[in-house]
Amino acid sequence: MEHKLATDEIRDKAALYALGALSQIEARAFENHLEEGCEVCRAELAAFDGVVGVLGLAAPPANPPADLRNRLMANIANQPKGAALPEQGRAQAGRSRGEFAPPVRAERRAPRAPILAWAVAAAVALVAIAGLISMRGVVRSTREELAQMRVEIIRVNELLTATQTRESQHLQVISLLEQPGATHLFLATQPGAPSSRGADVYLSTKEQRLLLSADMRPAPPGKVYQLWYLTPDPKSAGLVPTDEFGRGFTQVSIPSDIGTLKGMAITLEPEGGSSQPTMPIYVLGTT
Amino acid sequence: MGSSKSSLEPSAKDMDLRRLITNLAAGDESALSELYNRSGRVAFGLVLRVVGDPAVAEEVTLDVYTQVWRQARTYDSSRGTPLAWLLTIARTRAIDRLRSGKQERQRSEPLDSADTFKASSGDPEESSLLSEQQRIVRGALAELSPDQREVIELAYYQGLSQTEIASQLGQPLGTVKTRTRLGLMKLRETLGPLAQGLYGA
Repeated sequence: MEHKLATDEIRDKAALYALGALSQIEARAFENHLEEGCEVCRAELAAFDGVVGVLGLAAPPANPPADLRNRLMANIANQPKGAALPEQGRAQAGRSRGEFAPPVRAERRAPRAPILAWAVAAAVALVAIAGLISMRGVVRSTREELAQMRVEIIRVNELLTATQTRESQHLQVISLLEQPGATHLFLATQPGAPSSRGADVYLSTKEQRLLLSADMRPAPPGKVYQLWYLTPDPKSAGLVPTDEFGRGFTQVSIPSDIGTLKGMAITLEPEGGSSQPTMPIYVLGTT
Repeated sequence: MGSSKSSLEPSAKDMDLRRLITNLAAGDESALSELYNRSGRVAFGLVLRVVGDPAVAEEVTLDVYTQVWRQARTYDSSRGTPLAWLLTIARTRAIDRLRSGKQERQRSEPLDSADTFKASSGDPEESSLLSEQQRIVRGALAELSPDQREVIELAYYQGLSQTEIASQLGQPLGTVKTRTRLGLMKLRETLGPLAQGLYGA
């Protein structure tokens, strides 16, 4: 579906796309939309591209090291010239924050049927959670609305995974605490670590699972919180995804061979987590 | 502003750069060397502004011109001037490097806008055309409100998302989006022909 007129919302998208500031999902949705031939969006993007393209002129020029030219000419002597090859590790075109690839024309991607099936399934599941979000209408057949819906569903799913509603969380916690042998552990900020509000762990030995409700300072980009069992050697209890406000809620199955649990702790690790905790410990609680 | 160079015709320099890119794409190494002569200080300056560390900036700049060499055939003049294309590659690679490397640049930088973006003359070491363009861009940025300039700089030089910017500034996300859009719209107007690639780069 093509737009007839440039609105503020359209300009927001085009401007942020030109800056590379859209998320991967939003960038894909925008590219799909452009592929449909929307002239309004194409023109807005071209105009913002022009602006962003010359913004670099505002930075103060600086003399490169004298040997850079020689290094460059030596480098290219070994390079295939002029071929339009995608850069290593960034095979996809497009400008999203997840990739930040060079600005080559967006290429046609593989069929998106798997994502759509999942998205529809997720939509059905979401209907059961009242009041969480207003879905704009039912699924319609045009590609643009499908693309928008995908964006919404994925965002909502992220929202759900990262920060379920208070009500849903409370229900889960209550349900766990009803089991005999359930305990609660509060993980508090440790000296030497940046302060967080802390985390609550609800453990059920009967069900061999725990629920974690974390309220940390937001994780910087490229870093993620990780939960640890304090057994004689710390063992990972998994990553703790947190939202932009640092809140996270996850459930973890406790391995049966965990041994004596002295407590739990959360550290900040590089994306993907670590096999051993990186100091400092952010929050910790003992049993 | 309003110099005699406000003609919308591509300048001789612009044709020069386009010709350089074409020759480069055909494998002419001297064209790359010449492009580097003309644009190296601007590209390196931009990369340095983003990554902060001169040694890292050197590596990134090497990658930038190597990429230009490899991808010159993909340059499409209907999408912007050669210089804009080059600067976009430079910024993209610099931000890639910034985000994959150390985190220390994530602290908020003291904005040097007051100095850097004074609507003063451009860099005297550059060619007069480039210097004129620098002056125009810096002048346009100086005309933005500090709020608008701030969010654009954070997005442009640090590659922060709108959410990260909102978090860093303690502002609502909607406010950041509005400021970004308004700022870029204003730049579109004030940069005019330069942003449309008609001024010659």
